[in-house]
Amino acid sequence: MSAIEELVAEFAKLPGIGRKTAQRLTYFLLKQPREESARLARAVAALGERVRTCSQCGDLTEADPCAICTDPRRDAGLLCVVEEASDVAAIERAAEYRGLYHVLGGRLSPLDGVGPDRLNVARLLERLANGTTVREVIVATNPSVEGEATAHYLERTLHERAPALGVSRLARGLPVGGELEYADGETIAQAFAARRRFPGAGGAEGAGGGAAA
Amino acid sequence: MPLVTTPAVILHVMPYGDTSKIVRLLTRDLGLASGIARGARRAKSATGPRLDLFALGSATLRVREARELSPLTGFEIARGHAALGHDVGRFAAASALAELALKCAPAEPHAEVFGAVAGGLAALESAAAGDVEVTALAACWRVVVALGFSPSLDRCVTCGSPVAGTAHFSAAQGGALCARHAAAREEGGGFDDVTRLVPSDRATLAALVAGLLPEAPLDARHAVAHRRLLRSFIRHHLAEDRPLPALAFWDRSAWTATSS
Repeated sequence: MSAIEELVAEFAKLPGIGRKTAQRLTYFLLKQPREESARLARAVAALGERVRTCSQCGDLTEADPCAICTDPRRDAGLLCVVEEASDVAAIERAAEYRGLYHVLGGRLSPLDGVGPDRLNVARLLERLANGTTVREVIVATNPSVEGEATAHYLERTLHERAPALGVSRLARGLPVGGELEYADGETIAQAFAARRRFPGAGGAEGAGGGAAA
Repeated sequence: MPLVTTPAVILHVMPYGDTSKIVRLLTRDLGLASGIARGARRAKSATGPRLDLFALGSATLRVREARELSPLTGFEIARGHAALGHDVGRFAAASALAELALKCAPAEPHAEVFGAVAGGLAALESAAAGDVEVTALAACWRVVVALGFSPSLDRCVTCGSPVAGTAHFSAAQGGALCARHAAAREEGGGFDDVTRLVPSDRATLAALVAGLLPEAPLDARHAVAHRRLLRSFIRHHLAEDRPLPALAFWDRSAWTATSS
């Protein structure tokens, strides 16, 4: 196999890259100065050499434990459980949460052969074993049917193992910047169930607990 | 490229690239179909949040001849099934039902199979907590029967003689065996696919195969036995050696409460 064919074949393995795109990327690289290609090759090689999963939380890191797990300014009493490492990056971008993380490495998906044994659940239970500083687990799986099932599986498992531990879910409902007119019924129903009272407003509690903001 | 709008159930969803989703659908008018919903993973996509597992709706596909993947240009939800994710037992059973349709349904339109899958998911969502297991079994059997694989329960599958009282059920042969042929099978070895059914078990199985809930509730032991029998029947007659991970997941654990 020629070098060109080999690189096309490698690019074509990437998600969302078809053969034509793989060829385009390959020919683009061929037109670049050699140093550009070398820099890309070094960056790809460094991924395999330097990046690993954090033995504590399962996030991707170059130092084990990762910078979040070892940061003394983070609240070790809060543990946010997410499906993928990319979810950690998304939450960090929001700069709102200051606790620790646990990356499951996926979600329950029987159709894809993913059961609890294929997720990073055993390590989560280890982290929450006796002597843990964690007082609340925030389950931040995606608001899909599979994410919901994963969340309910975790809630049930955590309740069995550590009944005193607080377990919560992220709120769900209308997206910021979205429009009510285009929201589907399920989203509107969830938004009503998780509605919040204005701080300081009187009246009855909301249907979904009506937590004050 | 004609636009086709058809009732559809979402059986599988997977991300594609940064912004799109590929969706496997069981449709009433096109049979099994695959659609690509471009931009569906964007935060402000109107279609994206609707493309969730098990949702029943009206799918609009831009059908292209000789192409397996059609652009999915719209999906209006008639009934979302988000509540199936609130209970791992219902979720496991719904996944098994979806897998049955994905792996075993014909590619061509089949209104009866479509109705059985859509109706089965709705029944699973609304079933009382103690009825989830029997509802799931009945829904799966309804799909199996709609696909043309109804097991024989009253007559021996080998000789056709009536079967009464306690009987043996051969998943491989597709139904009950009379005493003579059950004995012959046992002597010949290879009895792994055979389940002994006392009259009440046979009545339960007959109700499930008819798509009905049995009169007597299933205890945990019998629920396991019925799941195994169904899975074995599907494996022998419909799966053609394809792996069935969702059926295995459902069968693996007592996800749901049964009458003890």
